[in-house]
Amino acid sequence: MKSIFTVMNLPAFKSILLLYLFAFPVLANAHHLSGKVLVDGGKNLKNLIVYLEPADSSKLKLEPKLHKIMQKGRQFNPNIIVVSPGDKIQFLNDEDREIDHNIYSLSRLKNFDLGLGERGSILEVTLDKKGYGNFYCSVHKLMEGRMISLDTRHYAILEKPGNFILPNVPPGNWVVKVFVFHKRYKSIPINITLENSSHENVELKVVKK
Amino acid sequence: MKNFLINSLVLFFLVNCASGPAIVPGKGAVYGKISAQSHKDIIAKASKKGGGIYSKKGEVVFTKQMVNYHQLKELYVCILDSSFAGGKDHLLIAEKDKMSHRSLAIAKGDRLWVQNNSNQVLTFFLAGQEDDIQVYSPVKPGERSVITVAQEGTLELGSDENEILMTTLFSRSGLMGQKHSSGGSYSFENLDPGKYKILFWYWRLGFIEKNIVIKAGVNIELNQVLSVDKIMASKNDP
Repeated sequence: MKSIFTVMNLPAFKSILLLYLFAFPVLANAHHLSGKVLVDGGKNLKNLIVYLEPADSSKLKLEPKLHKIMQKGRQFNPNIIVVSPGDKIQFLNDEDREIDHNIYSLSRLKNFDLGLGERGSILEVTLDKKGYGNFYCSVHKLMEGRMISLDTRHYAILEKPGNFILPNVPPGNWVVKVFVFHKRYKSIPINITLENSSHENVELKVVKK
Repeated sequence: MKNFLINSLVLFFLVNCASGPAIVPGKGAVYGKISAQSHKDIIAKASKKGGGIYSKKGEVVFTKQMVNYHQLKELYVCILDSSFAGGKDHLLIAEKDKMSHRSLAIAKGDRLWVQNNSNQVLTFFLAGQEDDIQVYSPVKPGERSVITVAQEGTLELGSDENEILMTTLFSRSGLMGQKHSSGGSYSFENLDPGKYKILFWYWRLGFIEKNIVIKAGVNIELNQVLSVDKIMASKNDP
C-alpha cells in the first residue's frame, strides 16, 4: 500500500498529520480516514465540516463534553462549534474592559437566552438534539456564531474545499458526510468500512441542490 | 342648518380624533405601534449605573458596534388571512455588494422579483429547510427575474456567484406584511369579522405571534415591543 504522503505528496499535509498524531492519543486498532472534498463547479465554499457518523446510530455512546467560546473583541471565538447532543457550551466573557454581552439563539436547534454576560462571567447552555443554528449577541451587531450538533466526535472543519484527515477512527461501518453552510449545496454521503487499515483518498462530492 | 353644522363637526371629530383607523360598518381593524428594545437585563443595568454604554440618565448609549434597537428599520408586522392566496409582487434589488433589503416578509404564492443591478450575471435561489430550494434563471446585469414563492418558514435568498448578496425572508400562507421602523405605527383595516394571527418579526430576533378576534365595527389596538427576552417569553406562552 502506498504511503499517504506519497499519494498526496503535500508537505503541509504531513505536518497536519504529525500534529494530529501528537495531539490525539493513538487508539488501539484505530485508523485514519483521509481524502478530499470536491465542490461542483469548483466553487470555493467556506467552512465545510467533514464528519463521520456510525452507520448504525443505535451503537452510538458519546460521553457529554464541555466546549468553550470566548468573546474578546466583541467576537465569538470560535464562531463555528461542532458539538454532540448532551454537550455543554460555556460562553466566557474575556473582554479586557467592561463590555457586556447577551447571548441568545432562537434556532430550531435550541432556544436560549443566557441573560446578562458581564466581564468575567461564564454562562452555559446544554444542547440536547442534533441540528444546527445560529447564536448571537443581542448587544453587538457583528457577534454571530454557528453551532452544529452531530452524532460524532470525528470531524474536521475545512476553511475551503480540499484535503482532510480524520484521525483515530475505530473500525466499523461509517457514513462520511460534509455539512455545508451554503444553502445552494449539499454533500453526497459515502459509506465506508474501516477494518485493519486506514482509508485514504476518499473523494467527497458537494453538489448543487 | 346650525344643528347640521354642529352635528357634522362632532362627527368629524369623532371620526378623526378617535384613536385608530376610521370604523367601517360591518368591518374591523387592528392597529398599533411596533418597536424594538435592548434585552431587559441590559436596560435594568442601565437604570442603575452610569459609565460605559450606560448614561447617567439610566439609558443605554448605543455605539457603532451595537445594535441600536431604537433605529431598526426593518421591523415587520404581518397578518395571516386565510382568504389571501398570495399573488402580490415584491422587488429586491441586487447591487454589486448589497441587497436592497436585509429582510422581507412575504406570502406563499407571492411573486418575488430580483433586479440585477450588479455588473455580473447572477443566479439567485430561495432556500428553505433541508433540500427545499427554488432557483431563478440566470439574470444578466440590468435585468430581472421572478419566481412564485412555494415555501414557508424562514427562507434565505442568495446567489450562486456572490455570497454577500443575501436576504432573509419570512414566509407564511395568507401573510400580508408591513415594514416599519422602530416606533412606527401599523394598521390593517377593512377586515372581515373573524379570527386572525398577527406576527411581529425582526430577522435577527425571530417573531412574536398574537391571536386576535376582529368584530364588526370595532378597532383593536395591539402594540408590541420586540426584544430577545420578550420573544423568548412568548415561546413559553401556552
